Amino acid sequence: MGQFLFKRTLRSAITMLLVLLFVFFGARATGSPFTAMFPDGLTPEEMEAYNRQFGLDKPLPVQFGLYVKNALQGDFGVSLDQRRPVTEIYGDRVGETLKLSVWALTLSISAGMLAGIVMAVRREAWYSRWLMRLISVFYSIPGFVIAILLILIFSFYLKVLPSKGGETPLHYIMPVIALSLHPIASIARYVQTSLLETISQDYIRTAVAKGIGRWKVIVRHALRNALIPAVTVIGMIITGIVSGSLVIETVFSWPGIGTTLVKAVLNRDFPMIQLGVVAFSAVVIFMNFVVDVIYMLIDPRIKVAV
Amino acid sequence: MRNAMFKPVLLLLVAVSLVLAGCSSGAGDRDAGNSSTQKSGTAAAESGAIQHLRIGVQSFPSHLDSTSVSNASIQVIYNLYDTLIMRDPYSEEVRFLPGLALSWEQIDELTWEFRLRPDVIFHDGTIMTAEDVAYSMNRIIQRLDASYANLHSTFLANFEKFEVIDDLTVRAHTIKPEPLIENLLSDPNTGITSKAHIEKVGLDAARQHPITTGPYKVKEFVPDDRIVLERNDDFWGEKAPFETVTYYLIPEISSRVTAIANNEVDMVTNIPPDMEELLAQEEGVDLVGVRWPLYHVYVLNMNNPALDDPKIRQALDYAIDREALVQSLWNGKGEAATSLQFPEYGEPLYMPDIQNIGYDLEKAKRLIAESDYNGEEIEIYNTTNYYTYADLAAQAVIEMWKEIGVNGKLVQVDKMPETYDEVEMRTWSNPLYYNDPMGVMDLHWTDKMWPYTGGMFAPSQEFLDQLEIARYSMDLEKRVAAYRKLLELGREETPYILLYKPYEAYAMRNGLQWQVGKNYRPYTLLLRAGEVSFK
Repeated sequence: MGQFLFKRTLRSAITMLLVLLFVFFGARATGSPFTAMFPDGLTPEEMEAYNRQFGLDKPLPVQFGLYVKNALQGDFGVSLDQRRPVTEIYGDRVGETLKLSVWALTLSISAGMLAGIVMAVRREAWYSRWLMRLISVFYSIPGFVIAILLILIFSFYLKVLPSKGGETPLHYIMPVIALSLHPIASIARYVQTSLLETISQDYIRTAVAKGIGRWKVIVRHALRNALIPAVTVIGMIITGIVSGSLVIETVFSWPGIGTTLVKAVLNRDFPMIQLGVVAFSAVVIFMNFVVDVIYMLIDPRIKVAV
Repeated sequence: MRNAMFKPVLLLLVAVSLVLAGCSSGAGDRDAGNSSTQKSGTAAAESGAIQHLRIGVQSFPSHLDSTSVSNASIQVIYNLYDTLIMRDPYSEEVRFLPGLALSWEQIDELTWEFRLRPDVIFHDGTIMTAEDVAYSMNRIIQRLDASYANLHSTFLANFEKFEVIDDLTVRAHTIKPEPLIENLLSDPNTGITSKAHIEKVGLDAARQHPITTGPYKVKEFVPDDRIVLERNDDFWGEKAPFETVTYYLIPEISSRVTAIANNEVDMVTNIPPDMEELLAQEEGVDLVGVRWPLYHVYVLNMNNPALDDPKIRQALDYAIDREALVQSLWNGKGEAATSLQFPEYGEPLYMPDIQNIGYDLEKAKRLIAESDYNGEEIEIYNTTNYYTYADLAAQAVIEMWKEIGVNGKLVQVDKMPETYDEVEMRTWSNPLYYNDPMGVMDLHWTDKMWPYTGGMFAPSQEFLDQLEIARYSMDLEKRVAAYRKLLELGREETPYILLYKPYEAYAMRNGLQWQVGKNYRPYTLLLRAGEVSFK
């Protein structure tokens, strides 16, 4: 286990360094942050003054070296736009994104699993068929389209739900739903397929034949085995929710890091982009790691290659 | 082992969610305060006041220092900063009024003396003195920070320094004689800030939370989310009409429309004509339309081989039917350009007899035939979602150019390219910063601004000479004559193509009395005493 952890950590660190390299040089290749922040134009004089003030006139490898050196000490630089520490800006807002993501994840997993189970076990029922159709629809429509539709219906016409901000529990309803519909569809489909496959196995038939109630069989035996592929999906779902929140937050003016990161990209705010992308890849890497560990724990047949 | 994993994981997830739900309902108290105020606001409507104004705006400043020059910033800066001289926002001809200066006079060609208002209290309780005034200006003149360069070239390029004479007396020394000093020093971007505060906390922190003398002070500034201003009870003038004003950033048009319809805010900005109809149907929402003194324009690259023949540039200009654009894009509520002038100057600087821009298809065809145009593709670069309907207008213009045999193409970009060598034309806007011809000329068409330094604007020496006279002559007649010449040269050289003045609306709650102020620059959001109230 120790060796696994060590090698895994090393691989993760290398991946993140590669991501950083890509983002660092890639962002700078697209142009200057200051032409982005001042679309009405800057004179060469003004541009020079800005570059000097923020150290962007130094040679690229020097900039990179300085950045890594500072980053290892916890200093990720200052936003070119707001001129506050990048960690502070993200720190103020990451909580809001996490709240949204956790609620979306909870709803996705519970509703998704429930839907999947119903569609597998009561495959022929009319409500199952309708559920399947609904799931297909959710799967094909992008989250932000659903978000705008929800706002149109519930905020503009019915005037019962707020369309922006994140202050009250009411504010959570539409963003969480918009963010969850796609994951619900994914999870439901995976659980349905996986459960159907498991149910058709011989040992299930045996258990039923032995007299154990059908539902008990499904929950105690079939479901657990069926969940193994679902764990993979959940790992992907988490990444999907975090990236989906970028767009959903913008639509709902949610005070999280989504709007911040989008604005940073539009402004070519290099330090903000760097930390945002590196942190995001850290989340993805970490989720993959967690999924692999869960695999190893729940299925003794699986030995994850390092 | 497998069974044991399942339940604890599920329980953990549920527990985490409940904890976070607990955190979020704490934040709900904030809005609970607001909604109860809403109710009391409606009840208090009879007594004539809402205490907490909520505004949804399209864009936010990234900081609140007075030097933040942009359409986004001016919405806030006007209400936060006082200037030495102020303007009557509504008078037919602009009137200059005492602000932080009680009086001012020119004591010699290059020196103006200002007597300051005594006992003006900053938001932190300290008293404003000549030191603060001098510091507020000199830091920009000396360009102590890279972000000051823009404001320096816009308003303070002709100032050498501000000198403290005594606690309540300041002298402004100019480089050349300054005919426009009242216009320049009444712009909110030349607002006065506390010297001690910036020196104590540093500019970066002061930009987020400035200390000024204005009728509102900063209560909270959350970048890209909200700005909360609260009434300054020690203000030297009439107190602000609202206890708090909260600006919310709502960049999407449909979100702003929803927010005002759903009573989540009391006012929203930047509503284009097609959304106006939707809101007109909402009971409880009023619309205030405005046609700002501002032109949407094309900057022509006079150095680009495809456009270096002035006849081509003129032809492209004459081939545009601006009335058609105004009718189809702006429901007739915009205004086609007829010259680079605004009636806001007042006469004699405004010359209604000069209308040298218009639609003349025959002339355009003739000019193109006489020119050396060889079928080159003329590209119009446009930053997406920046100028309303700029993409639609460009597409229409390109169709119009087909009539004279010119090939055009719209190039939509996220950001303008770093250099303009390959660019034939790009979109821009020319707002009127103050009510004088220089309020548009000096900010856009000089050799100090980016069209020139970026290699697109290449005026004749005569143009630059006339500009010098129009800007700096102390003789009004000479300025008028020079400006007339500039308009004629502008026609001949066609460095720019003016399209129209666009139209947009503000949407607000029924009962909110608010008007646009014609004597401050476009997008200024007037929220001081006497400028807004709730019926």
